[in-house]
Amino acid sequence: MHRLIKVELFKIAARPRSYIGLLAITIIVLLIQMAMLADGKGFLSFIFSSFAQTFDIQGKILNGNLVAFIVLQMLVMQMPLLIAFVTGDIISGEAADGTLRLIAGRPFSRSRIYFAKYSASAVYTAILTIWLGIMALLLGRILFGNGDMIVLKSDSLTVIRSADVLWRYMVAFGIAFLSLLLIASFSFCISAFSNNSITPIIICMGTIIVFTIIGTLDIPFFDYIKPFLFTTHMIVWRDMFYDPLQWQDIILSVSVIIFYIILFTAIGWYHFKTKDILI
Amino acid sequence: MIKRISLLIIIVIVSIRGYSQDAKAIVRQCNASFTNIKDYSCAVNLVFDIPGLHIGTINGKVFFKKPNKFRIRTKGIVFLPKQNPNQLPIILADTLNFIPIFIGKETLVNQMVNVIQMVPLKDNEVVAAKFFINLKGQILKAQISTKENGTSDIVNEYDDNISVKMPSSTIISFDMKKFKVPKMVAVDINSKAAKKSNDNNKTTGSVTMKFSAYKINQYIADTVFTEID
Amino acid sequence: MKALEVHNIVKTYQHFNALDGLSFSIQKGEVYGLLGPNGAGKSTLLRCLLTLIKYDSGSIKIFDKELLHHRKTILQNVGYLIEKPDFYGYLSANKNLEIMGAYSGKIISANRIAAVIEQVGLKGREKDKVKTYSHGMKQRLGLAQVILHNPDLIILDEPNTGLDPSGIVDLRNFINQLKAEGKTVLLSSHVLNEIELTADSMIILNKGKALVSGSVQELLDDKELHVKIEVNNKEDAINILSHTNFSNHLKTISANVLELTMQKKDIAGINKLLVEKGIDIVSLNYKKPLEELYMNLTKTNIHA
Repeated sequence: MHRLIKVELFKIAARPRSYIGLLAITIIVLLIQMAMLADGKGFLSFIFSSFAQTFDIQGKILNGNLVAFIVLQMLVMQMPLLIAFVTGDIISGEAADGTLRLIAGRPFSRSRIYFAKYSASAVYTAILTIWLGIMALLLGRILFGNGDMIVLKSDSLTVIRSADVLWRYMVAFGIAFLSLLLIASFSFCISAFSNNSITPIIICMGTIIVFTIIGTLDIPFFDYIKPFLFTTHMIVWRDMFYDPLQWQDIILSVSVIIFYIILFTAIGWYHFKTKDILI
Repeated sequence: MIKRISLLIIIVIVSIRGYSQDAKAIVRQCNASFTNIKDYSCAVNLVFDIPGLHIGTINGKVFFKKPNKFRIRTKGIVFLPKQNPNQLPIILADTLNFIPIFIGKETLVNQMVNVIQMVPLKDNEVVAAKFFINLKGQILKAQISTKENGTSDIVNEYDDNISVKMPSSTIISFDMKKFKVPKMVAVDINSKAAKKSNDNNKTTGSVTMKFSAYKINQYIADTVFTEID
Repeated sequence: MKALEVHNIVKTYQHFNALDGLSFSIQKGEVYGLLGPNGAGKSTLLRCLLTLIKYDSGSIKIFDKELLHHRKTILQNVGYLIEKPDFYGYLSANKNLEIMGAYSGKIISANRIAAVIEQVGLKGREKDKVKTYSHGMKQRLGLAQVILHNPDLIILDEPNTGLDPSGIVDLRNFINQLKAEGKTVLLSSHVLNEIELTADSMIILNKGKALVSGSVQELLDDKELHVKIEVNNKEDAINILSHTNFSNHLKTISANVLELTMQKKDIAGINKLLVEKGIDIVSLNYKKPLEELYMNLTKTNIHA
C-alpha cells in the first residue's frame, strides 16, 4: 500500500497544477504582508478608531500574529478552491486521460487504489496547510515580530497575550487542516463519480459558495439548516482565538467535520469500488 | 433691618473665607506628599474590566517625572483609559487654574474624608474635579469630568507597607462609548451562533492598577517616556 | 491447459445485453482472435476479463483460477492494452513504466525497463515526455507496459489502430514473438487480415453472442469463395463452365463478369480450363476467406 501511496504522491508532485496552490498562497500572502508593511498602521488606525475615542492603545498591535490572522481570514474562500483544484482531479483526471483503465485492471483492488489516492490527497492538503502556516505565521513573525494578538468580533475585542498565541495557532491550523481535508474528501468523492476534471471542481466550489451564502442569510428558516451545513463548521478554527475558549462548540464542529470527511470518503469509495470503468 | 442684612453678609463672607481657608489647607497638606517627589517609578499590575473588551491581566512599569511626564510601559497590548491617575496631584497643585472649595465631610471606607471641589478658573479641559481626601492627606477618591472623555471615578487604596504617600492601587472607572468594528475584520462573521455578549449592556468600564516597588527620586531619563517598545 | 475459460457470461446495461450468455475458451500458448462488428460486445468482454466491468452472471477462469476469487494473483500474470494507449503525458516513458511496474504488483528493475524499451524500439526516447510522442510511439510504449512484468496472458484491443504499414508488420512480428515465448494472446481486431495471419483460433461475436468459434484453419479451409472472373467472351465461357461441377453455382454479374462459388483449391483448375479452351481471362479475384465468413455471418445475424 505504501508503494501505491508513493506512486500517487509522485504523480501529484510531477504535475504542474499541484504547484499552483503553493504559488498562489505564496503570492497572496506576500501581497497582503507587503500591503501591511506599507500601510498596516493606517489600516489598523481605521479599524480601532472607535476604540481610540475612549482609550490610549499601547503596545505593538501590528505584529506577525495579527497579520497572520488577517491573511487566514482573507484566504477563507480561496483555500478550498486551491485544494479542490488538485484533489478533484485525482480520479476524474485519470479517467479523462485514460490512465484509470490502465491501473484499474491491475492486481491492486479498487479499494487500495482509492485509499492510496486519498492518502496522497490528504498529504497534499497537509502540505498546503503547512505552507500556509509557514508563509502566514512564520514569515509574518519574521517581518512584523511577535506580540499580543488582538481579535475583533462584531461586538467585542479580545487581546490574547503572546505566550498564549502560538499553541492556539497550532490547534487552529490543525482544525483548518481538517476543514480543508473535508473539502479534499468532498471533491475527491465527486471525482470518483466524474470522468472529467472540471466537474468536481465546479460542484465543490459551487456547493461551498451556496452553503456559505445560506450561512450568511439572517432568515429564520435557514437557521434550521445551518447546523447541518459543513461550511458552518469549517470556520471553527477562528474560535481558537476567542477568550474564553468555547471548547464545546469547537469539539462539536470538529466532530461534524470528521463526520463529513468519513461520509464523503465512504460514498466515494463505495462508488469507485462498484462502478464500471467504461472509458 | 439694614443692620441684620449686613450682619448676615459678614457671616456668609467669613464662612466662605473660612471654608476656603480650610480647603486650601487640606489641599496643601495633600500636596505636601508630592512636593518632594521629582520622579518615581513602580511596578504595576493591570486588571481590565471593560465591557466588550477581553484583556487579560498584565504587568508593567509606571514612570512619572515632574511636571507632567507619565507613562505606563508594558510588554503587551493594553487599552488604557485616557484618564491619567497622576492627574490628581497635578490638578491639586495647579493653583493658577483651579480654586479649591471645601464642600463638606463624608465617611468613605470607614474613614472621615474632606470633600474638596476644584473649580477651574478659566476654560480648561477639566470642567470639574471633586476630591475625597482623608485626614492623612491621602486622596481616597476623585471624580474628574472632562470635555472629551466624560466623567471618571478614580479610587485609591493605600498600604503603608508599600508606600505612605503613593497609592497601592488605583481603580479608574469611566463611561464607555459604544464601539463599532468593521465587518470585514470581525472574526465572527457567519459564525454559527450569533452570540451577543451581555457585556455590551454595561456602559461603564474600569481598570485596576496595583502598584508596588516604588522607587522615588531615582532619576528617570526623558527618553523613557518617548522610546518605542 | 486452458489459459482462459469464459462460461455463460451475461452483462446487461439497462435493457440491453452487451454479453448474452457468451462461452468460449483459449488454450495456453495460442493466439486467439476476437472479432465482431461495433457493439458486438468485444470491449465489454475484455473489460470483464480485467474486472474493469462487473459481469452480472457466469464465470471466468484464467489459468484454472476463478477470476473473482483470485483476482490479485491472476492479474499479476495478465498484461493488457485496451483501446488507445494512454499514459501520463507529463512523465517520461521511463517514469511511466516505473509506475506501471509498481502497479503490476511485482518488483520491476531498471534493467528490465531498459530491456523492454529497447525491445519495442523506443531506445533513445525513453527520457522524453510521453506527450511529445507520436501515436505509433505511444503504441510501442503501450506494448512495452503490457510485457513489462512478463505476464503469461496478454490482452490486446485493436493494437494496430493508427499504425503505419511498417508498424503493423512490427506488431505482427511482436505477437509472433510472444507466441514463440509460449505466451497466450487474446487479440481483438477489426483488421481481418491480421487475425488471419496471426491467430490460431478465433471467435466472431455479435450482439453479445458467439456466432462462430474455433481454429482459424478449420473455419477457413473449407470455406467456399465467390470467385469473380472477367472474360472476353462470356457466352463461350458460360458454355464451357456449364459442363463442369460448378455449373450450379454459376452466375452472371455483368456483361463480361461471371461468378462461381468454389473452394480455393479449385481456382487454378478453372483458370487452366478456360485458358486452354481459348477464353481470355481479363481478371480473376475473390474476397478473402475470413472477410467472406465475417460478412456472411454478421450480415445474417443482423437480419436475424
